[in-house]
Amino acid sequence: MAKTQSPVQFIQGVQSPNMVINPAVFYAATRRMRFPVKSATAISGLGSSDPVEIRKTGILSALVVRVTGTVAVATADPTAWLYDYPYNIVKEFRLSANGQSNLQSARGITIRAHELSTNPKLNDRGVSRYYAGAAKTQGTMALDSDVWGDASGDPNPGASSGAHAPTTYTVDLSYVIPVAADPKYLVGALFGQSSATNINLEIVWNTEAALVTVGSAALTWALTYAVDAVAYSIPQVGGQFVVPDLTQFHQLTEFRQGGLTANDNEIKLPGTGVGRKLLRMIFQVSRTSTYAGNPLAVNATNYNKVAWAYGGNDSPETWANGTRLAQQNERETGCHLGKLWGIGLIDFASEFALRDAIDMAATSDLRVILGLAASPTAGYAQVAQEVLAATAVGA
Amino acid sequence: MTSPFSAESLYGVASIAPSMGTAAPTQAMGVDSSDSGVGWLINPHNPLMWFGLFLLATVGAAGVAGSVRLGPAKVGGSVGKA
Repeated sequence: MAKTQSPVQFIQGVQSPNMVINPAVFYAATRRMRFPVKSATAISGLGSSDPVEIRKTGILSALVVRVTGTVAVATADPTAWLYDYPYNIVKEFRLSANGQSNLQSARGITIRAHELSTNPKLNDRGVSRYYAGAAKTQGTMALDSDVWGDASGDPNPGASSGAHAPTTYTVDLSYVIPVAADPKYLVGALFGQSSATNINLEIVWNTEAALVTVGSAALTWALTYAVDAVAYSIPQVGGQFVVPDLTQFHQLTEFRQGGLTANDNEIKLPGTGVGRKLLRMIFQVSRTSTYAGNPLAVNATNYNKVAWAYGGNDSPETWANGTRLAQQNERETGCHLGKLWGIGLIDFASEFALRDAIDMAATSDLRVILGLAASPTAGYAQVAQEVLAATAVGA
Repeated sequence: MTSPFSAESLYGVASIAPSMGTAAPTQAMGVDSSDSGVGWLINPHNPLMWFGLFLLATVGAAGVAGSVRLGPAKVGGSVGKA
């Protein structure tokens, strides 16, 4: 008698054993797992990148990346630290899975801002850090466990550390890559339990020139990175494997828009279309073409309007100036995002996603409007959009 | 998918399950009977019909003839000048 095989099933585009989608049963039966996928390893170098293949296990919810090490300033040569330091030591986190490239593509500071906007338990709690040479207790977006700018003269953005050289400084940062849109219900999580699965995280390191303007003496960087995965086991209940709703991919992608002028800059979001829901927009404007200039603080002096719009001129939400948005952001995140780092957040998901998330099928030419009081000198905006996108039928 | 924990319930994303059974049928299109089809040709208000009858009366209908042989029997018939 011929041996029978169970029918082939596809989840998120990869072949998988036969499974049943039943979120409630899955939550009750699954086991949370946390395991290292990359132990502390020296980075391949600033300006380069490190690819990390994620282990094929369970339902992947998040990746936690730690970047730590030292930077040695050899002489008392003045060294000017720029505003890509420290969060944008990681120029870009790129996550791809099962042929879906660039599920995540965002800078370090955007990942941190996203975490502050989505984790209700987290805010920067008045953690003191030096910023532009002065101690700041609000808007640093820092965790107490971060190490940068702890004391005057420590490397901190917008300051010179020359007076304290030669010294070896410690850097320690952690990032949570939001693989799932929702760490509780696992909407947007990745199905990893298949030999056909291929999940990769590429960490692109910024160049030294973007982080610091070095004097005559070279700096010596010794950075390492480590990656942990947070995943959930796929339980077998009543003889069947059970998974949560894996019909959606979670995307956090960022792009750069130059050519900013005074007053309304209407920046269109790329990739809008049917089957996509916009959860958040995060933006930041830099004053100069490089990150040498400090980010444009989100306040009434710099922004005379912030809004989002679609179609001809439908503009459902408008903030009269930057201060109004910054006040709302502080209420939403517990952090004055726009004060130092110039982060602006338009959040459609945290309060009530079912009601507020934007259906990108019904909002053609979706765009964010940044009304700038003055034209930045060759400045540019970084705009990130967080989206839930439907996968192929079969999951 | 109607689970309260589904992406559809939590985020309002469209269900991606095939839903052909609930697809709306194509709406019946209106047809103007007097303005299309052969009915228009035999309408007494159509001068072409009277012109056709006039030709039939003066020139005559074309002849039609044919025969069928089934074994020894032959059946045949003709209409007009065949």
